[in-house]
Amino acid sequence: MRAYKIFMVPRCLHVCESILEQEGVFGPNLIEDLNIGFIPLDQDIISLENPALLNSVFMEGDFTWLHTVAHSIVGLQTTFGTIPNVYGQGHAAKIVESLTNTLTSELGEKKSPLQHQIGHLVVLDRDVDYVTPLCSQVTYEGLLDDIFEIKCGVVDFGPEVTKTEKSVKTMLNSEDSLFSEIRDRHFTNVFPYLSARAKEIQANYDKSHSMELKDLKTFVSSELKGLKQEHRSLTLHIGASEVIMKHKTKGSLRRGDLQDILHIEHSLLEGSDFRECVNYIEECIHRQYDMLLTLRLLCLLSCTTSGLLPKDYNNLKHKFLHSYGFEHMLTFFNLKKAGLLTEAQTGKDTSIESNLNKLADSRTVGSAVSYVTSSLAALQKKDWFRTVSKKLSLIPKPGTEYNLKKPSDMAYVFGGAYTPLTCRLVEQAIQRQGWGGLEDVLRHLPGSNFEKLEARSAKAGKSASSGEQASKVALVYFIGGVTYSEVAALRFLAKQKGYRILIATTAIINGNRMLSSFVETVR
Amino acid sequence: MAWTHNDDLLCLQEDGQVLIYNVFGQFQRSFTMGKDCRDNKVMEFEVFIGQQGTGLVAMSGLFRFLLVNNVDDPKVRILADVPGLKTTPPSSWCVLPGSRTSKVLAANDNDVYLLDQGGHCSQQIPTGLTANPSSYISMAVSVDGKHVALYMNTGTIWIGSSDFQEKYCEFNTNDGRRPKQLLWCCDSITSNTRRLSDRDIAIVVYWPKTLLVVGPKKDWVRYSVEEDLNVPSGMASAVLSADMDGIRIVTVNRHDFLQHVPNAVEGIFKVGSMAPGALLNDAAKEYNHQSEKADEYLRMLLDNGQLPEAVEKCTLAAAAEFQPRIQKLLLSAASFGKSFVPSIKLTDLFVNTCQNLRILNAVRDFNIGIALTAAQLQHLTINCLIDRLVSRREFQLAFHICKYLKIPEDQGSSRILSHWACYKVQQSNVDDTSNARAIRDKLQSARGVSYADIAEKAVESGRKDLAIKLLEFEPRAAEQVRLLSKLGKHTLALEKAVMSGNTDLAYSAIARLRERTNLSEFLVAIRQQPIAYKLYLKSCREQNEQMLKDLHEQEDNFIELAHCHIHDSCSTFRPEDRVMSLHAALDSFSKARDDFGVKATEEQLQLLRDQTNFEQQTDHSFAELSMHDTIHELLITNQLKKAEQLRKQYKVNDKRWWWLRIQSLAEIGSFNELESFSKSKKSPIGYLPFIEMCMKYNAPGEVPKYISKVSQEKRVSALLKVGNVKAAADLAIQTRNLVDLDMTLKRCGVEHREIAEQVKGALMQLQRR
Repeated sequence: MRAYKIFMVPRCLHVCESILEQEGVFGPNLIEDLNIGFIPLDQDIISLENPALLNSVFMEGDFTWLHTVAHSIVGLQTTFGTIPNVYGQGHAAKIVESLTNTLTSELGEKKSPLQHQIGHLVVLDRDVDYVTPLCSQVTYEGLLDDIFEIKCGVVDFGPEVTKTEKSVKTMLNSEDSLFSEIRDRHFTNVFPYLSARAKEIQANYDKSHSMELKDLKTFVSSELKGLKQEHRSLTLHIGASEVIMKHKTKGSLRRGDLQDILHIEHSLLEGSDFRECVNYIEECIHRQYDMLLTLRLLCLLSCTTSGLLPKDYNNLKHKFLHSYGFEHMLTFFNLKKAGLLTEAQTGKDTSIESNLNKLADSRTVGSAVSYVTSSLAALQKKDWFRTVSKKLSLIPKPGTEYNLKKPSDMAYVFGGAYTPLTCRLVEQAIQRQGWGGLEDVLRHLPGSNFEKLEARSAKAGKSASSGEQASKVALVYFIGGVTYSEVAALRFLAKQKGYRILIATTAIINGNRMLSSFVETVR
Repeated sequence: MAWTHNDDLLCLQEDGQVLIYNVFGQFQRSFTMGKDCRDNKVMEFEVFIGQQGTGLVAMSGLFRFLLVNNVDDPKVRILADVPGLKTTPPSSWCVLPGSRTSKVLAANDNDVYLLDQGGHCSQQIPTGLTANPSSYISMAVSVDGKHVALYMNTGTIWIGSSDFQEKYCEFNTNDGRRPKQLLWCCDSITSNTRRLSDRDIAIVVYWPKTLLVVGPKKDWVRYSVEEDLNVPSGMASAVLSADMDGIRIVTVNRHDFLQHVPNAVEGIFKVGSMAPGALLNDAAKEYNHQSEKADEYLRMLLDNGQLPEAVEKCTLAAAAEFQPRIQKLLLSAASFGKSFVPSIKLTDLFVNTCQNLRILNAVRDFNIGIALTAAQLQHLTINCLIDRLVSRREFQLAFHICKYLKIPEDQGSSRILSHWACYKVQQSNVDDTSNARAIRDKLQSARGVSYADIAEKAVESGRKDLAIKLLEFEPRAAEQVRLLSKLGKHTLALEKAVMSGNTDLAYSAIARLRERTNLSEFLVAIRQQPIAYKLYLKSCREQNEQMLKDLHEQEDNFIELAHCHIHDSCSTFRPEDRVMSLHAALDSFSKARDDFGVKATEEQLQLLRDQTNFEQQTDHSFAELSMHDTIHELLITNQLKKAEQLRKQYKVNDKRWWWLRIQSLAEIGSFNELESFSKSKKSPIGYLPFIEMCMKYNAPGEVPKYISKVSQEKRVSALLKVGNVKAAADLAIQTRNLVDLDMTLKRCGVEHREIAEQVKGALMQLQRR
């Protein structure tokens, strides 16, 4: 008889056992847990690579995965010392925090290195800021992700990029010095750099022609390999940039013109030209553009206006169903649960409100939809996005010119139109050493916030120099995923303020991947 | 009956049943020696301590030997039969403990056989045997299994190595009686490390009232043994037991220990000894008498460089002594000497010895009654000693030892405390609340105590309430929940599982609750836990959809219910089922008073009906198509009328209609019709789409027809889209529109350098103005 073994990633759930038992195949030593934990994607990004978490936590309210998240934090803390300052925002973050504490106490007092190496931990829920992932990305890496899809730090460049028959799989990380130089740049700055670099390499090659034999030997042995490698990656990135350019200017019939879309997004962020935006979205629907694109704009509309008016909501939903099919009733329902695409309350709108209220009431006797109520609560704070973005000055005043060549703040990742809310929160939390002074902002955000600070007295005393160093190191944990734009913004922040920011996440997402996890795929 | 190395009492019954009791006579476990023993009875048996733990050899009624290497993991091995043993028992036998496997030596009259586990039997002939015995009536193997002694019926003892290759001596006792006991007295710990010297071993023969100690050099000593008066004379009442560094002699009212005088002690206390240890001891004595001789002795040692050795010897001697007075004397001598020798090694030795002696003296106290030598303690290890103390319920002493030795809490004091608590919960005379509180108070400071284990003990002794109270303190939710549900407190378990935030636990608690209670009770219980309820819904969604719907219905959660139905309708392929599910959804939406949902669902039903109609009328399949796609499908199959009908029915607005028409006309290549369509009415979506569609379906020739219709401001971008940079540039220069010029310039690129120059020029002009 053949012997089987099942490895469960990251851990075996009781439900699985009981199903196996029901099927009569359960035996001792059948199942092993395989807790993979973090997968390092780069020097500063570690990821659980679990995109399913977003859906299950923020839509279904199933916190099973949060256990894994907490576990990963505990794992980090046993290696790098307990992180003294923890700040969090969001419902899931709160649960993770308490789970982390329980898990740590269950582990017992393990002797962790006395000196902690990470000074701050910022835990953020994805539903604190849905706007950022909904925007089209314009940094180089972000665009690569939007257009080619980066999977676990690997991108698959098709024939259109390589200009050959074969497609090439490339690792994208800081090992590639060229890539690390351009990855976080605004796209407009990528091409000039690439061409300058190309000239440089050419010059280096040319140099070899005029060399003495002896010099040539050292050149071949030392520099040539590096040059060749660089040449290779340069070709790839130039190819990729060209494809991006094509997307950008021409657009396609399925996707629309990126320039137009960016324009609409910017007006949505600024809150201007509401009608124009709605019309554009309608056009998208009528033309049956890529569904995820349409949905993304719809969600962005909802998020920036804190929920659509019932009239607009029903109108757009109606048209959407006509274009993309009736089954998307479920998609809308899911998005509503997740708080991505909601109806605003007008007070007079009786039927919907009463339903929502009924849901709110039924929660006390145990309804499944606490998220609807939490988004309901958010809705009542009218126009929270405007308030928050004004308070944190996320959006510059319209009309101000933005120098993309030499960015002065994190807004450059969206062409100067918007500073990602999450990144601003991180900046504030580290700067203020807590949420103090931000209460009236956080009040508007979904979920609760918390902070856990080390004893101040210890800090006031002569703390060791390594402690000082640690206080410059921060770990930012995104529950539900992070976008490359946010990564770029945080890197920029780190460089600007002299911090070292490490990013932990449950997955790397972009707008499309985020939405497609909510889209009902029945068939 | 015998003791194991864990202080358990092992009893072998005649039928081969082995029962193990703890030190308080409470039954622990049992195993059996097998069928052979059951059928033929156990005649004799011997317990030995090998490297794997306590072993056991039994001789069955058929004179077959059965061996168990470790009673904790009882595997019975049957050894080979001894040749010639059919009706009479072997004249003598004993166990030869080995490192991995143990063997049995058995003698049949004057033949000695070695039986091993592989079922082999080999005859052994003692080398250089001069006596001519008719049988070996007793034999003994030393504790470490290195030496063997054979007692012959002539009264001669052959003493040699256990492989029978080396003979130490033959000693004639002139006593042909079978000795009551024959055993070795040897220091197995030291002889492991040192080449055996003649002094280290001796064979002890015990007859009633007499104890004969014979060394390998035929030197001998005779002791008399005090016998119990109640025992008829001629019978022996004392019991001898070989330990690793000596022999214990237990008589009715005494417990004596017979061992070789340790070298260190001998060196110091031998009359007139000039060994370093003795000198140091003398020096210390003189120093205490304030005599100048102290200096003399000390110098003698220092000059010879023997002081470190002297200190070591004094310390070791102290360790070997039993009386605190002499220990103190020797230790002070050692400490006196040590102050002249800066050596960390010696200091460590000294400190360890002091600690060990304190512990030894404490356990040697008659209340505890564990008489150990220092060497035995070393072999046993402190942890084992603590275990023994704990199993004797000497919690306090064990606790103090742990504290004293600074043993890490989780191995030391916490462990003892939890043992104490386990014992405590078994006492039934204290009421639950105060008991729980007492345990909590004691254990609060200790880390790593498992309340769950204690609670489990409480359950075993039938005190559920106490167990539940104790579980309140358990920090590990998994243990807590497991035990609570074992106790049948499923609701409480669920509550705790939910509180722990570990959904897996909650799931298992839910599942267990579901198994044990009936449906209505279950629902009542689970509704009180919102999170658990949510989890249950999720598991229902995956496993039991009907249940999910029922739940939603009971909760009046019609919106959820409606969406469940929609989900159903989407996941089935059979049209009838689909319609049925949609009707159910419709019903739910109307109950929820969701007008939009009602309308949308009605429309979908209508669409399904229409699609079926069309399918019957044409051969096309409309399955899975949206309204938009349906119209599109109709249009490209030239069924304008039906499309119009749908348009009216679903109030398709003009914009969509135009998009659909343009797209489908271009798609089927009816560009003439497209043109006439463009003229039918003013386009609500402009004329740009016409151009786009023409380009898409490879009809650039059609484009000029529409260019003129595109509004002025969009014309340039339209031209650009078509790829006519030249025309776009001309137009842009004409209109002098900055934005258009800019856009054109961007598109010019490399291949249109001249145009780019023109545009640049125009731009410059404009900007100059």
